[in-house]
Amino acid sequence: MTKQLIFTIGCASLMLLQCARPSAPATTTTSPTAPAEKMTTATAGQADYSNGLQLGEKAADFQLKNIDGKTYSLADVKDAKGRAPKGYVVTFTCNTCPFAVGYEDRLVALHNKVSALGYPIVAIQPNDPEVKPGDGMEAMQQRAKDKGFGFLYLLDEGQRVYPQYGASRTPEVYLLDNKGILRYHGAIDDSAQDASAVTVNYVEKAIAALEAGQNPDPADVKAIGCSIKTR
Amino acid sequence: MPSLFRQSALFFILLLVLPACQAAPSTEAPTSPAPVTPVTPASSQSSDTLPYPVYEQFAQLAPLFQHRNDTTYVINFWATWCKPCVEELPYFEKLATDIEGKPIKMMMVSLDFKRDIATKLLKFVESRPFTLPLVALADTRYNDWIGEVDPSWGGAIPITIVYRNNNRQFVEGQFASYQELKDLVQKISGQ
Repeated sequence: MTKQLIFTIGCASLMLLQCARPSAPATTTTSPTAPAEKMTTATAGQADYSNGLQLGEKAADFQLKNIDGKTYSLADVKDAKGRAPKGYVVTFTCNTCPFAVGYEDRLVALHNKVSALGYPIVAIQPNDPEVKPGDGMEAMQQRAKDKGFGFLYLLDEGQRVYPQYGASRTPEVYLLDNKGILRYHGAIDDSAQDASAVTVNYVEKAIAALEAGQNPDPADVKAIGCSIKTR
Repeated sequence: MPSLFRQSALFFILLLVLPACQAAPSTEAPTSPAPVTPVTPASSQSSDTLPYPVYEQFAQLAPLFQHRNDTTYVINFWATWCKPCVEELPYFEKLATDIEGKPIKMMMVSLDFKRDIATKLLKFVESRPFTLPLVALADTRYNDWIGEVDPSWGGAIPITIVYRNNNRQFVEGQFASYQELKDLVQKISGQ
């Protein structure tokens, strides 16, 4: 019991040390009407990302360096069978956010499953490594090796890509179809803190919808995450 | 220190037995009074040993955003794992002393992991020089309530809401300085 307690406290302290650095200056928005009148449950599709990629819009391609030293664009990505993908699970994630770390094993399993279906994960690390050294290329390579990432793990060097998507946190998924159109955005599943308690895997559900020729529903699912770290 | 250790061990044991408690609804612990909380929840799932309430449902927190009483409310969402959140905590601690006697109320809403609420969060709170009004929100059905806090919020923390009646501002990200926070509160409260 004592050992367990010490271990728990130790882990907690480690996590505190690990996470996050100062982010961009706070941005303020004014809401003329308070949300008090609309206390109904938020549903899919209500997202209001003023500057980001909207559902149905075409995502910008990119040229980013992978942990293997090569540079990739979406056009270079292949699925598990070496074919041109039917879609891309673009996932902004990092080494240092406890939510992102909690999803590492799930991402590996998800990629194995959906890449075979034609929808490989393309992970992008958006944090500035100058601010967060634990998110630098070498650390990314090490994490990918330790965890057996079977997917691309790209560094958003210069942080030009994540703003084009409108990503605000890690982890955050943008499911694109083969034309690069955004079809699903948001959470990976409905249980960030406990993999054993997942009841809906939103990414798998959205891919199943695309495979059936339908629009994903829900198409936008919010989740708590770490802010993306900038200078 | 040994008593703190025993206390921590007790919370750890509580954590272990918590799933069993949830399976038996009749064993709900009595609620503890929150420090300076403007919220009066119908029920709280908090352990009676914690110095802050634990809300399992966002609905328990929702009234905090609905006051229409000329008081200014300053609500910050944070977590011990969020470094920018922890970095701006001193601003809120300073604000708490500066607003004494004024019609301004604060609430710090912790989004710490469920498993950390009775351990890491408690230890962190006890290490701070000031006690801020605090609630731990353990509702992990995030998509059901993030949009209720603010439609433009994607889910990254920290965020801060300052409102008085229908005058409301939503701030995403870390305050650059205490002055920035203070100016915002002054603007909304007129105090």
